[in-house]
Amino acid sequence: MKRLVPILATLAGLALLQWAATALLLDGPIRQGPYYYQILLLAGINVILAVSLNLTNGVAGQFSIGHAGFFAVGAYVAASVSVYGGPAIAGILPNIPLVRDSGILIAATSAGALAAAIAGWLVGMPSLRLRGDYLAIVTLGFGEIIRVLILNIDAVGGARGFTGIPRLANLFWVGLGVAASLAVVRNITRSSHGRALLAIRSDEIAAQAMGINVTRLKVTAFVVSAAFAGVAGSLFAHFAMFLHPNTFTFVKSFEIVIMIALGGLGSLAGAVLGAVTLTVLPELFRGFADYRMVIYALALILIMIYRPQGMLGAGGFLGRIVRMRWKKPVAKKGAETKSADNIGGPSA
Amino acid sequence: MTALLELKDVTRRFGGLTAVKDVSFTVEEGALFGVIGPNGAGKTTLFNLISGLYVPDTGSIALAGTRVSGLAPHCVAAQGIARTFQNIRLIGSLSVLDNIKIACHMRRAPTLGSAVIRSAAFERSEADVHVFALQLLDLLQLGTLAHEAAGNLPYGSQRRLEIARALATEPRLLLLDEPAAGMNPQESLELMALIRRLRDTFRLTILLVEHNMKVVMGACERIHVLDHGESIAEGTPEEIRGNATVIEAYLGAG
Amino acid sequence: MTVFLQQLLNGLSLGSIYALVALGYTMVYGVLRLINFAHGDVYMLGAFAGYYTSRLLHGHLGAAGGGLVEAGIILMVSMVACAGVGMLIERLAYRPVRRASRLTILIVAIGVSLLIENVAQMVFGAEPKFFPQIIPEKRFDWAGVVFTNQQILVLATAVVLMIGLTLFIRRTRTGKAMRAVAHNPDAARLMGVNVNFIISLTFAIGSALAAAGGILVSLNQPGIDPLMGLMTGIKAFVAAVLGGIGSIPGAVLGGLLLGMAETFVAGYGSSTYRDAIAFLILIVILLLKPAGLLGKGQVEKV
Repeated sequence: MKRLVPILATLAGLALLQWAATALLLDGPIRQGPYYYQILLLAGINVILAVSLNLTNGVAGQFSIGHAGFFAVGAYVAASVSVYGGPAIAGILPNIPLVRDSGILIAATSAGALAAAIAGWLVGMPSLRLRGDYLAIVTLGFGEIIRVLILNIDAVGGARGFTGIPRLANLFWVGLGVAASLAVVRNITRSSHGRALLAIRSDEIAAQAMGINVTRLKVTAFVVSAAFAGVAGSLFAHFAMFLHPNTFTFVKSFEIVIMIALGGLGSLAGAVLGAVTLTVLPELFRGFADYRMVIYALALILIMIYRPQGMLGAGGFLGRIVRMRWKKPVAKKGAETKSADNIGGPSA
Repeated sequence: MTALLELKDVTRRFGGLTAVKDVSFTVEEGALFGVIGPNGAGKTTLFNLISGLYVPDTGSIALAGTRVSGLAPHCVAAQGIARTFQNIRLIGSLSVLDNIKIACHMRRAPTLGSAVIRSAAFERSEADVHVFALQLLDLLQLGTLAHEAAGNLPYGSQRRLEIARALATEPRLLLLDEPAAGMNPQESLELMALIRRLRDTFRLTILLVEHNMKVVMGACERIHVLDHGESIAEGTPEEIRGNATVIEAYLGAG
Repeated sequence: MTVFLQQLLNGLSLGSIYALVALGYTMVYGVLRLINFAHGDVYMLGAFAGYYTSRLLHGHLGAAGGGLVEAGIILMVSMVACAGVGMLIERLAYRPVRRASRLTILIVAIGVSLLIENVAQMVFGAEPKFFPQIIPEKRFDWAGVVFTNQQILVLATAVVLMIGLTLFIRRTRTGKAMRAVAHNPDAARLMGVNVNFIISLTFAIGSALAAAGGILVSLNQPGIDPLMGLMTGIKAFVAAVLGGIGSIPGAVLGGLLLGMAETFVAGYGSSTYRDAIAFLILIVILLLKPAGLLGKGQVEKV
């Protein structure tokens, strides 16, 4: 019973926020609401993406740069469910708009998450047995393959884009997605499985010798991460009402990587902060839009050279202010170098 | 007494180099068995073979009659073989306690689902692991250091922590790779006493690799000698001490 | 049969470009164990360096040597310029993180790649530019197999460069030092090898070869744009892995095989999925023989 209290409190809080948003006419069934309301939802979706990618890249140390691929799978599958299956789902539900819309969104999101998880399993199984660099290339390639496939599927609009997606996501659902991804990733990180993932990140050989099934655990983390990217995709589809393959290029994947690198690899709060910063900052500096990617790239290089632990990583400047209650997985510089050398040897 | 670990004609080559050649020996249940040899004799390769990190080219390794050669390292660990590393491989950034808890994952982890929903079973299991890990640390005189980062521990304590971590996997056979490396004679003696005590407390079988003759002679009941990857002798410490081939291998190697 | 030979020729021509770019990946991976993500972008810079040089030169040289002189000058200028860029990238971005974790280095590499692509889009413009036709195209028909003088030139130049590289690495002192660093940097340093210099040189040579690839590809397919290095870069990396990363003959073999695989898929199957074949090959090779065709399986030291 005790565990239900925070869940109910979260639901009630979100419902209240949503009620307020609707009352203030920020939100409606066909409109996307004012500018800052959109930014808020986008930030929420990016938080889900960053937090989920952080589980593989930060906690488990398996470097994926194809997160946009899973985001795309989730978005397109979920949108297909609500566009093509929406009437059927609505048929079996009572004819109350709130129930009907929620039912369709839940079904679509579940399908999107499941499809992304399956894609994650298919990509992860062969590539996670191998060293990190290969994984990076395979995931990058996977993301691009997904995009090429979508371009060739006419039922989801191909290169024209996918239109006519109902507007079902709102502050409540995005907030719920954020809360769920935070809770799940945090609970995994702060468990036996999370500790085992940290062990894999530091020293795979030692982890194996301690009886940890390295491949299975990595694939599990990868699948969970992909599933939440799918959730983010569904929320995005049902908020933007329009999908285009160009939204899901490797640039989107890199953007998510930058979010977690900026915040501090492996830090949950860092992922949130990074996602929010990278959503809001470009909006504040719209005039510099042309330079945005140049600045991202420079920032990424400089952060990695001068502060590889990010804003909220161990010893980070904000890290000392915001006391994190979970174990900081970011290794001390010396230890990190040492373990990196161990992993560094070429493996068979 | 029955045989716990059985090696039969185990060979492993690396390119042109034969690191271990046709090695066979049997370790009885409950034994304190030493493998010695000069540097480069193939001792660590032998450990890597037994613990599944390498697969033998020919020959087989069995634990209590079950073949373990060819199994993945984590499956070997599940069969009940735990090891320490010569070059200490702790996770320096994590606490001493967490290093132990990581090794508890194999036998005592709750399901991922129960961790996500924080079920009662999960809370119970975390509490159990916590108590178990602290007990192990106390046994190895590391209790007071539980919350230190493992990387900050003095060398001797890190070695003991490696042993504690191996024990946390609840093994039947414990492999110790040069446990006394870098220790002074006094520390080595204490370590040997500790190893004997652990064997008796946990009813373990211990196989240890050393190149320090004195340590092995003092601690082990039976010794197997390797030189250039090949077995050259086996016997009690007294027999080995008097064995001409062994003396030559050591003196010859300088 | 004619179709087969035609595809084979086209495949070799495409493959030799991949091979040139793959050499840079494999060399850098050999000395630093780093996937130089920016390598494909150096290839793009090579093409642009050639484009601007040819605009400066055009009209000044006339048609001396059927354009061969001009092509030669462009190739040289571009290779030298990119060698400089390669060294600069190493010095500014990779050297500061050389001792950091692999993850850090990988992120830096991605950052460098993004930076070059986006600066290039600002400087050169995002829309494709058309590489001037320096050497007038001549078509030859040999028993139904059509090939151009440019294809021959691409193949010949690639072969010359690869032979030159092999001789350099096998026969010269510096080449030996390079192999020593690839084998064990710390031991090489103790033997008196200037490791920093060798790493710089590796970047220079690899980048020059990528630049050559960029010029050669532009002779055949004149459309160049700031993102052209992205796919080629990734595919060349796949070629390097296919041949066995770290192995120079492997990179050449992998490049040629990948080029042929792509042209055959495009020729006999669907061209839409041409880009997917590289990743399919990558996944298959990683599953079956992760060390690559010519790579040596190495065992992690425990």
